[in-house]
Amino acid sequence: MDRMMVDALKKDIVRLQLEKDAVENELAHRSCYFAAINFPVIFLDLDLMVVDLNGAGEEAFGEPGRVIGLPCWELLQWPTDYCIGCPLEPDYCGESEKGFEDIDYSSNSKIYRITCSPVMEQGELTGYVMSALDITQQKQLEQQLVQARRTEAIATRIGGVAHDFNNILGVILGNADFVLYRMGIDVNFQGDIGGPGLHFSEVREHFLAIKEAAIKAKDLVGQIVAISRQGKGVMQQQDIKPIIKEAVKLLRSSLPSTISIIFNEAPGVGQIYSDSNQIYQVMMSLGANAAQAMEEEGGKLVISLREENVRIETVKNGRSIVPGRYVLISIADTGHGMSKTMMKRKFDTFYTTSDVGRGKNMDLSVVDGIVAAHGGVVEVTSELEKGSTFNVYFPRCNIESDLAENLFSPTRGSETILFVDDEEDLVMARKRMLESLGYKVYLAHSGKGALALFEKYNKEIDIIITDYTIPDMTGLQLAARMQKICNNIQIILYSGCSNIITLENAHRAGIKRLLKKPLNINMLSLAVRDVLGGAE
Amino acid sequence: MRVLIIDDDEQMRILLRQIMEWRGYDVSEAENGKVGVRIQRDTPAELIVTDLIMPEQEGLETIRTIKNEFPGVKIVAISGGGRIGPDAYLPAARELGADRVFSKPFDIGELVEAVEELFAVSNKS
Repeated sequence: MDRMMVDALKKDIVRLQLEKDAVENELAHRSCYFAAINFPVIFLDLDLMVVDLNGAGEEAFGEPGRVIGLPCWELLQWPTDYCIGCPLEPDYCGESEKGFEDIDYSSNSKIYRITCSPVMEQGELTGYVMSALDITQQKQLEQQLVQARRTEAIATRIGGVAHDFNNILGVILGNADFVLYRMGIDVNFQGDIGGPGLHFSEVREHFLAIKEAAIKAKDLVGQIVAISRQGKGVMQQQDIKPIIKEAVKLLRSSLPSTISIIFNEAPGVGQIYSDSNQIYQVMMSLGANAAQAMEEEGGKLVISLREENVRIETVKNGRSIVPGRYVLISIADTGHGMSKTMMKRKFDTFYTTSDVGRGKNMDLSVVDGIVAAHGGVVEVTSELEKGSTFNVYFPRCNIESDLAENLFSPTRGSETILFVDDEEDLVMARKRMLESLGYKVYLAHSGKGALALFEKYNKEIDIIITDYTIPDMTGLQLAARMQKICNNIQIILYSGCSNIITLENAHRAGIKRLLKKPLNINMLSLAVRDVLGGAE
Repeated sequence: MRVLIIDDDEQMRILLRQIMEWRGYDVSEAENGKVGVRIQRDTPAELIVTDLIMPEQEGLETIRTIKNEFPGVKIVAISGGGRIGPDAYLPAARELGADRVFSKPFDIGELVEAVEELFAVSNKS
C-alpha cells in the first residue's frame, strides 16, 4: 500500500469517526429530548408494536422489558385490535397527525388523550409516534363543573317550586283566614269586621278553593320528591315536555320583560333517555345565554320542541349524528349573534364571550358535555347582529309510548337476528317469540361463539341483539369487534344495570339501541323494527 | 274607590277580589302586568295590589310603568318569592315605589289594614 493510499484511508477514518461522533451526539441529544418530555411518548412500528418509549411512558405503562413488543392496544388495555376512535385504523393514510380521546387506561384509572403522528424516512412510512397526554385531572374538573351546575339547577328548580308552593299556601291560608275574620273568630285583626254577613254558599266557595289549592300542593310535593330523586343523576326514559315547560315558565319569570318568550311544541313528541335535572340545566343555560345576547336591546326568544328525522349521517358541531329519529329542542334568539372566533370557541370550557365577571358562557361547555352524555348533539348557527340558534338533538326512544299503542301487537319482520345471551332459558324463549314474528334467529351463548357465528353468516345476519354480560367479553367489546367484521351491522344492547354503559360509549361502539332488562317482546320487537326501519 | 288586582294565579285573584269587595271597594282584575297597565289606563284605580312574578310582564316592570304614569297611585306588592329566596324581589319593589310589600302566604288582616291605611293617606292628600 503506498503512502498516499494510507493517508487517504486515514482521512476517511477520521471523517467517519467525526460523522459517527456527530450521529452519536445527535442521538444523545434526541434521547435527552425524548427523556425530558414529561408525558408518555411511544414509538410504534408499522404493525403498531411498541419499539421504544420515554421515561414518562415507562412510568405510565411499565418497564421497557415488559412493554416493548406489545401492540399499542394492549398497552391501553383495549381488548381488540384498534381501540374505538383509533386514528391508525386501516383507512388511515398516514399523512397527518390525528388524535382521539378518553382511552380509559384502566389499570391506573387514567384518561389519556392519544395522538399519533407518522414517522417518515426518505419518503416512506416506517412507523408512528404515539403520545399520551394525561387528561384525568381535566376530566375530573369538568365532571366537578357539571356536578356543580347540576346542583345549581336543582336549587333553581326547588326555588321555582317554593314560589309555587307559597302561592298555594297564600290561597289556602287566605281563604281560611277570610272565613274566620268574617265569622269574628280572628284575634289579630283589629279593624271593623263590618261588611255583609257570611252566607253558607260563600263558606262552601272558600272551602272548595282551599281543597283545590291543597290538591295542587300535593302535586307539588310529588314534584319536589322527583327533583330530589333525580339529584342523584338518574337516567330514565321519559317525556321531556314537562321539564321544558317548567324551564320556560321560570325563564319567563326571571328574564326581563324586554325579552318576549315564545314556546312552540309539536304534538306527540317522543321520549328520550335522560336525566331531567340535566335537561333542565341545558334549558336554563341556553336560555340565560340567549337572554345575555339580548340584554341591551331586548328581543324575542323562541323555544320549540319537536321531532326530526335525520336521514343521512351528518356532522354537527364536530360530532357525527347517525340517521334516526331525534327529539329536537331549538332555542333561537334575536340578539347580537356570534363572530366566527366566538363560534369556534363557544364550547371551550373556560372561554367566555362576555366581559370578565359577567360570563355565563362557561355553561355552554357544560351544555355540550351534558348533551354528548345523552348521545345527542348541539348544532349552532349564528349571524352577527341577527341572533343565534341552538338546536339540541337527543335520540328519541319512544318505545314505552309505542308499546302502549301496540301492546297486543308486536311488530313483525323477516330479517335474520343473532341473539347473544348465556341464560339458556331466556334465550330459547326469546328465539321462539322472535321466530313467531317471522324472524330467523341464530343463537350464541358467549362472545367468542357469537364472533364465530358472525364471521360465518355476516352476509345473512341483519341485526345483533346482545346482553352486556356475556362470557369472554362485554357486550360493548363484542359490538366493537362485530363492527370490525362488518361496519354497518345493526346492534341492540341490553343490560340489567344501565349505569355501567354511557350512551356515548354505546354510540362509539356502534350500538343503535340500549334496552333495559327485563326484556319484553313488545319492546324488543319495536326496537328491532326501529333500528332496521319500517314495519313489515 | 277602586282597587286593581294583578296576579297570574286565578284563585289568588278571586280571594283578593272577595276581600276587597267585602271591604266595600270596586275591583278590577288583570292576569299579568301588561293587561294590568292597560286596565289602569282605561279605568284608573286608586290602589293596586300586584304579584311580582308573572308571565308576559312581571310585577317590578309593572310597578315602574304605573308609578311613572300615575304617580299618586298606591301600590301593594305581594310575592311568593323567586328562585333566589323568598323575599328577594320585595326590596326592589319598594325601591320602585311600592308603598307596602307582603310575602306569600300573608295575613289577610294585615293586608286589609295596609289597604285601609293607604286609602286614608290617599284621601287626606
